[in-house]
Amino acid sequence: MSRTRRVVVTGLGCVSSIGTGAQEFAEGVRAGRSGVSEIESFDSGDFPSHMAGEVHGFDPASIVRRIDLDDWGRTAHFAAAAARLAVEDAGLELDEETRATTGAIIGTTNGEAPTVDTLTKQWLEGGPGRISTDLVAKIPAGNIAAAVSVELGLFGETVVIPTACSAANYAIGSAADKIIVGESDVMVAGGADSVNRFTHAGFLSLGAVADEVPQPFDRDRTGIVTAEGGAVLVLEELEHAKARGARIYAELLGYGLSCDAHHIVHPDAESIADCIRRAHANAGIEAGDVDYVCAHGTGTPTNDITEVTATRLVFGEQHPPMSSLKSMLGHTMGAASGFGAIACCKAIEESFLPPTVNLRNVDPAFGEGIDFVGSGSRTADVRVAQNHGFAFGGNNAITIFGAYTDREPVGAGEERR
Amino acid sequence: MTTTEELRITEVSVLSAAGVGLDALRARLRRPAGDDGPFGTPAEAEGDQYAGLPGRVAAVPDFRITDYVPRKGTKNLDRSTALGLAASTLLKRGLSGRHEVADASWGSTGIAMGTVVGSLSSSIQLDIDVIEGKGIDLVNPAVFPNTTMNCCASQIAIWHSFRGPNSTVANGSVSALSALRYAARLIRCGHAERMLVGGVEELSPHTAWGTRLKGEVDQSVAIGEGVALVAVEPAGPDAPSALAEVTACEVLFSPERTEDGYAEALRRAVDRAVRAATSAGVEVRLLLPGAVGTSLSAAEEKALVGFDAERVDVRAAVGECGGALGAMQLAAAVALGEPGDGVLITGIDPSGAVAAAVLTIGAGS
Repeated sequence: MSRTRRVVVTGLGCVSSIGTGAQEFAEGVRAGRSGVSEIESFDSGDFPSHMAGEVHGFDPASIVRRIDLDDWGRTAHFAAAAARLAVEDAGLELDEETRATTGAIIGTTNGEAPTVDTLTKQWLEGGPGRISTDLVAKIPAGNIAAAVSVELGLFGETVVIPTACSAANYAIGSAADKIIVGESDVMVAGGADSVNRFTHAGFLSLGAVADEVPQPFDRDRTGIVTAEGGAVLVLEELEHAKARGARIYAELLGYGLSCDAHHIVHPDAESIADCIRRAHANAGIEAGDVDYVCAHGTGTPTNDITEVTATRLVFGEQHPPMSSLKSMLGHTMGAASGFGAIACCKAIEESFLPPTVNLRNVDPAFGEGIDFVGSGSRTADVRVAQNHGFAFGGNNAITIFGAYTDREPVGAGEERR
Repeated sequence: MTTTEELRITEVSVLSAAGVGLDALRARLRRPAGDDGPFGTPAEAEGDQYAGLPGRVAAVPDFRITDYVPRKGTKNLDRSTALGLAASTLLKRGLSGRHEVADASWGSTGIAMGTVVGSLSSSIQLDIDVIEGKGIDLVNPAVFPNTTMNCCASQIAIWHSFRGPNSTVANGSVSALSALRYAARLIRCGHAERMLVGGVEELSPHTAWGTRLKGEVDQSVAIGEGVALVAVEPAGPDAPSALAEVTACEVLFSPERTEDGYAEALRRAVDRAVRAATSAGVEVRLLLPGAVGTSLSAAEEKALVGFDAERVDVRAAVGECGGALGAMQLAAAVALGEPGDGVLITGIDPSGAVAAAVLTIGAGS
């Protein structure tokens, strides 16, 4: 199948612990700012770890225009706010014709988990018949995308893909496919999640939470901190974007999915390598075309060695620079690869490599020759960026972004284009 | 426009409050009006948590996962995952029994599983363990993954070595139809070859109370559970005979969450689906509406005004089953449809999501 319709990124929006809006976020990334702090959203006194990547002072009312905030949970607020910011960033006027076919595809891990937590307390204290109907109505995960489409007045396909911590990449890939096959000219896609008590507890029970701050790729890394936020992209068919004179951040060259089918929490390097190869094939690029890898990079001992083993299988000795946003944001779960996508687009647009912070001693187990960008962000020409998302259940998803040129796409391969 | 004209449903599996398999579902769907039951009863351990719940509940009768897979590794599975695993086991067995399926093709098989919010009872139980244990002392790390919404699809892949795209789709009562649309696009764009598509919902005191208190479903409808899966693959010389063709599957949204808004969005989806059927020379003779017995039935009626076909209410037959409803409708279409007929399936979710699909029943059904 030859691809005649190309997908470009024309809008970026996010609410994060290091900045609201893509520009502020990108400045935070370039500065190596950390969004990790003492937990405020619940009492962490019963736990041995007290850090999270919370978005303090998140004020959705200052961003959204249309949704009634009382109808939706915090995760939906993150998604709707990020989407509104993305559409504003795109300078996109959502006229009736565009809204008829534009939809929202959003990924999440925990959905409205803080609301579930409140309901659980009500259930324990008052019994089943006394739980709040208003809160019950916020629980269905599909609401997170619905809030986006209500906020933007969209009539197109609107759905949540809750494939845990790779979910935003699934969402971005599917939204791009909608454009490629001609179902839509514009889509919004990304991910959202909220910090909550039982996810913090669950990762603690697995021994996967950092003693202090996350230190991806460090010899002494001890785990993640849970985090939150919303990250949304406006994807647009190339000719549609050109016709309205849109700013084009990058082209979404393609994506790949794979499933480990191996273990519910332990990742599998061969399967991840397969996912990378599928993404390259779908994007029509070779491994050597990749200038930067935005790693899943959780900072758990297991993830990082598995991820590097996988990238080594594909890149060998010619390994592109690879860094972890989670060193700054913590693990934003279903939003994580959405933030990765924004960082990739900004890296391409502004020619820089996002850093890995808190990296003191690179784990010697990774071998020589990989630049984890541990000395701070730096200027570099990024033509092709590869964005990783892996998840519980072995749900791997990788998106590939490339610098847009009005000639043939970067590294255009034989297939699928 | 339809995007799914070359896709076939080659196998179906279903576990519902009516029992296991298409025959049990068909018998329940064809029973006379007013003859509702019997339904399975929930696990005894949860019994007192249903005390005082208005209306009835309807479990999959006598469900034990060890009737489907060996015991080893089943101890910590949540009920949604166990139901999904059972359905996938039946589906794999059924398709292999009807058609020679190369082992390698199972290795590239993917999943698109619909759900409202995953295993809600797993999240609540974990949270209770956190609260009552004042920290993580009571938390079993082996059940933490059950709180992620992709657990069921992932476990199916692990048990059956399905290494194709593994996905979970959440869109309320239209989750499974959204999963069908998503899977069709994955196949069309070359990401997958065969996809198992459906939806799953578990009965728990939490979903039962939540559903009753919200009041969106009529009290006369039992709170049910279940799972249905269909195997979806492109037509081809080596493909198994089709139980049905996916003639159309439309998923749209109504940002105006009013009766007129829902109705208008669904009407648009139905128009597209029926147009696709008409251009394929298929006449719709059976309608499986998804909102009967809910607060959205009037909106659905508005969208279907003047639509003349036999109607069967799947929810009344198997109970309210959330993200599995659309999958039950797909299974019901295959169970009831006559060869060559089109079956229109519709659904509306309070979130604003709407869906309409047409299956054309094959000679193999």
